[in-house]
Amino acid sequence: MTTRTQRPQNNALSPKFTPEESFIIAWNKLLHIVKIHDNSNKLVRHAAKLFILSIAQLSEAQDAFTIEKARLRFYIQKKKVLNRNETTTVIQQLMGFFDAIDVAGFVFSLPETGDRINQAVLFAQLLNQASKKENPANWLRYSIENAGLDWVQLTAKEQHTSGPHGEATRQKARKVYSYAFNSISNVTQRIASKKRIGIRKSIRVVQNMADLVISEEEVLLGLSTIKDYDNYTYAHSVNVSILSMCLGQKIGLSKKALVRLGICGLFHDLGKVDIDINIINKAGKLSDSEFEKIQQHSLNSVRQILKLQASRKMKSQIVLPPFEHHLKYDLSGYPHTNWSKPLSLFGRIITIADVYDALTSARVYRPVAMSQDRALGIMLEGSGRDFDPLLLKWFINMVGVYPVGTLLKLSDGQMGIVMKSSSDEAPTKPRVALLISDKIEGYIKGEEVELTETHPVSGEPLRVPVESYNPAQFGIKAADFLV
Amino acid sequence: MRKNIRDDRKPALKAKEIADKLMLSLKNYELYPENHVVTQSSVNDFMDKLSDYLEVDESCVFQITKDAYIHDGKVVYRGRASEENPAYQMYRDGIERLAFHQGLTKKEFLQFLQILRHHAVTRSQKESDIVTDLWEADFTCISYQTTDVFWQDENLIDFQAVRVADPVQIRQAKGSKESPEGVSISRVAKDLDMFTLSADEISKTLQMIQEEEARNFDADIFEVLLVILKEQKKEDDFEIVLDIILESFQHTLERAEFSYIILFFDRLSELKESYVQTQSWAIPYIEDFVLTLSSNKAISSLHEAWKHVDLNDTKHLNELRTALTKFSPQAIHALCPMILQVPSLRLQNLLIEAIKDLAKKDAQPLIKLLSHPDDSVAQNVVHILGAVPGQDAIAALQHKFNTSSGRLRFEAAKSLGKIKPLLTEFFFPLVDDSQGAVREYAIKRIGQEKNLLSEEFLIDCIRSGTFKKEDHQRLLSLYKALGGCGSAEALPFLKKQTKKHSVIRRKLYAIHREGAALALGILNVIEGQTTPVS
Repeated sequence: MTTRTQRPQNNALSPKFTPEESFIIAWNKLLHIVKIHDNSNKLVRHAAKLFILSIAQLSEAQDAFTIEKARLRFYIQKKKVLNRNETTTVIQQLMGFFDAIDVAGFVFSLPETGDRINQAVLFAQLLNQASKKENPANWLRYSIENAGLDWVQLTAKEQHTSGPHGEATRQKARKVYSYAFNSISNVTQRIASKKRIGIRKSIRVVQNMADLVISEEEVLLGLSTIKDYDNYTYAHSVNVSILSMCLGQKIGLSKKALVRLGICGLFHDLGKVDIDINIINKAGKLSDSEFEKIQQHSLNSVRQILKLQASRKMKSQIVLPPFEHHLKYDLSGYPHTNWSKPLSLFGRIITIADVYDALTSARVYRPVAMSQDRALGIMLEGSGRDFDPLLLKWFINMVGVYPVGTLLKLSDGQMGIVMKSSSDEAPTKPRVALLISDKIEGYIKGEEVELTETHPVSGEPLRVPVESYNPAQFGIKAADFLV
Repeated sequence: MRKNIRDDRKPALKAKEIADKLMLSLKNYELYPENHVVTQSSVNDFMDKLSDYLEVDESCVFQITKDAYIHDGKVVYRGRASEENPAYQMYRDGIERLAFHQGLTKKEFLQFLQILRHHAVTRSQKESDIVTDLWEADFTCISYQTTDVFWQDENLIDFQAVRVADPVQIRQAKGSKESPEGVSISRVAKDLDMFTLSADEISKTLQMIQEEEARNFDADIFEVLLVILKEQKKEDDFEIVLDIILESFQHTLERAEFSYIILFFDRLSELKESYVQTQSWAIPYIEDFVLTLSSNKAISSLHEAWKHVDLNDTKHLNELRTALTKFSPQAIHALCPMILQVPSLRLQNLLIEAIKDLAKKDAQPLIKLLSHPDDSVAQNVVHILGAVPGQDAIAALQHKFNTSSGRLRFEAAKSLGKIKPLLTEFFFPLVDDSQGAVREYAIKRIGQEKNLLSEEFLIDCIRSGTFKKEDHQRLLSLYKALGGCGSAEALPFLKKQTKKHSVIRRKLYAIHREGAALALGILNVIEGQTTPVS
């Protein structure tokens, strides 16, 4: 889903709000007011009028427009409606209403015939009634049709498949990942050779990543499942950059801030270049002195960033999060200095991304990587101590209970890779691609199924997850199926 | 490609004119200021041409090659494939298509020109180029398409060849009966509310973002860099860190964030003390660094800072005063000339007070400025030195007095006059000084303190002096001063003087009588309180 953000502009309904926000506010108000007063009440008529006006405003550029709810956001004509202080409560209320009637979205156009005000009032009344029905979406669809309200339709819930129409995007995403990987690899190698290096290429590639995060977040999240056992640090740096930017986009950071966050993520472990590779790749337990050297890498990252050929302004903007990323939320981590300032927002974001990717990657000292949902479980235990609880919650909401790339054993005996994490309504029921053995040592992708599917007679779920794994345990590269 | 550029297959209406106007606008933008009539005229022409075109087609698209702009398959601009050619500059940075869309404003176009000019002039940018800057600018009506110019020679990752784990370990894992590590979040999170965010949480998130956007990176970097500095073990790295700190310091000073400056100096001082035990090799670096911070180059950032100082904010002014006193006394070299340049009297006084405080630690930098070629600076220095205790300051002022003339000499005398008790050896001879202002001041100053020596001296001056007509005022001044510094011991002399008469020197003796009476009057104001000077 393409996501673009909007900024408030002047509009007829209120200069404070965008047309999209005005529509949401007018609709929400109408829904509430028809519950209290009868049709002829002035307040009801006025609210209905504003609602119609807001539809008219949005219909100026096109005959009809869509409003859809997906993952804690409204999208109007595929554009994300940003939360702002002035609108967040109303948006949440309307979202709650959408949940109550189990509808993904609507298509609106301006009523052409009849009394528009009356029609708007009737529509609002039907919506309120639907929320009390057993199958509200079906009932609503039927009632709207019966009432002759031809200017509004329910949208069908989205059905995604990884079809060929997404191939260009996936190819582009793979390229961008490669460029980012090469970028951090080049920077690291030049530093190791004691040469100065600029960061222009890194900024270019992170800008490309930011574009993908904004428009094709799911594709990029799929890429973050790429694990490179033999070049762990480079892949890890790119993954942390991607995960951080995705989380930043989720919470509403601006584009420029996303790029800065992405650069911080890409360079957060630059300091490992100063550590003996044998220590980094040691299979057994580290000695005290070895562990101390490892702990120095955050400070080393700062030193290396300072040596980059970049402006003071840029360096000052990217130096703090790499310093902070092992300090922990409660500052009990390392490096052990007299640092007492609370972690920056970016530091807290990168901490989460860093630990998540590390836990879900196979390492020399932990050859069996943790499954993604277990990693989240462990991180949840550290909420408030190691991680900012609010950001962790955003992160969990972003990746879902079973994040993309998780390997699930299903109750029917089949294995499946999570292709799209679950909806808010059914957090433990993602979409999975069933895996079919290729009779050699690998798997090929089978049918994609929704774990929300139920038996038509019994109503029981067709499949439920019984166990989860990191696909690397079975030599499966999740990214092969996702991107 | 961030916006959808269509291949324009319609006839190119005046595209060449648009390209010509674009080149002209760019050229004029490089030669003249933005608001110059020539620049504005060419920009307006471009906007007009574009506007005509966009009445028919919603976008004007150019394909960019290394030496040309091409529209609808036809070359509309061609130059040399060199740095001077805007087409080449764009091509160099990877732009292969450029489009202007309906709704383009003059402001956006000017910003576009600014980006092109910036990268035409300074090619070796460390971190940006035309594409990165266009991305940041996020134009609504200018779009572009790029090639992967930087990565043409790079290999893409062969995702098939990447190993996700060690196969040996995988086989072991498959045979292992160990239960997987950790507990799934699906079991740890007891309620599904964990997976929804409340309005309050969303609001808190917005607040976090606003705080981040308002973040002071320089304050952060100070803190981090001081931590780094403390951990530094290598001399080379030490210098690099200090360079960054210096830049951040200047930037913070420019923004008049004096509380951070104070914090920074305090931390630096703590660091230096800690180095005595742990890293004594670093101390010369720190000392040299503190001197660098106090140099002209670093302190010149204050010129920018004055604009941000709130004269009504007492706290801010106090922070400024305190911050200035944290510098090394060497900073006086930079601060003194600034006195005449600060925009308000209040700031001038504040600056003077800060310089005095610095000079009290070490007066030498201030003393050296006595020989500043600019007399107005030297005057300020003379004025300030009067408040600085110590023999060095006195000696310097006396030297300045002896080697100067006119106003500066007089100011030197006045500064020395601030010192108490009276410098009798210096001021007594000045009662006959050739410079009238100095003479008058010296006499007045002598009369400001009760002093037996001064009393005797003045009486002696009056008795033995020869006073021509033009000296009568001086004579009166001497009497006045005697009244100021004298005691009961002077009374007999003064009373006698009140009875002085002469036929020949009538006027002179009248002055004597007048002066004596004046002196007696001054003394008799405190009659009964006049005590012999001990």
